[in-house]
Amino acid sequence: MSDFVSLESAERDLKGLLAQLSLGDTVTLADNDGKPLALLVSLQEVAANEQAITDWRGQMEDLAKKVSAAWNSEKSAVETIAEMRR
Amino acid sequence: MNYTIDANVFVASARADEPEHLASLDFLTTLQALSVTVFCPSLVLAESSAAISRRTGDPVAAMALVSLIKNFAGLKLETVSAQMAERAAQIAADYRLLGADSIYVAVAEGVAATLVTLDNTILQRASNLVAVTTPADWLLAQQANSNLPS
Repeated sequence: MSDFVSLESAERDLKGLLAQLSLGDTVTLADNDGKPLALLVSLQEVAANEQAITDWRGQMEDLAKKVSAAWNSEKSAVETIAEMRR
Repeated sequence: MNYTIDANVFVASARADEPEHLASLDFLTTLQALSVTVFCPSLVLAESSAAISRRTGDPVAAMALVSLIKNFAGLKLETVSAQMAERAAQIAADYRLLGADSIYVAVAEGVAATLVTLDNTILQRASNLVAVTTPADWLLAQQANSNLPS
């Protein structure tokens, strides 16, 4: 999301704005001319919901099958990273 | 609690035939259900993408992994400041770590995070500086903690 939000827009839907932030995220509240007025810092700890985690895992499993099928080396992915760092 | 995750954990989870695939995938899935923040150097994206593209020749698969990393719950990508680069240089010199390895250690040290990696050299050499573990060992520790009487 944008780092700058107008004060007017924040006033209209502060709850909605906070819902888009996770712990440590910041948003600068600005006036209509874009002049910074205040900094909003989220302190809410957000754990991903169960469905989002399940979806994430499913997508990773699908990708892992695709990547394995296309893998063209005897070296593992971990070895590949180590090799790239040398 | 904070964590830093090495790119090798993400790429291991993104290849089904990888020896540490299941442990990495289980670790990444379990961690997302906890209210933790994961600080990774922004380098993690390029490293992961490069490893997949290099061995598969498939840029779409490489970027699909990047997208999954970016969507990882609680992830904060850390840009490497001049100050952090200097600290990483000192770590590389003191602990004889490779350049990229020392960046991960510097990020973890800066936020007092547990560094999760599959790199044996990091596991051996960085343990005096930061908490460091593998996905499999982390899962075992979680299991042991959950079996403790309350």
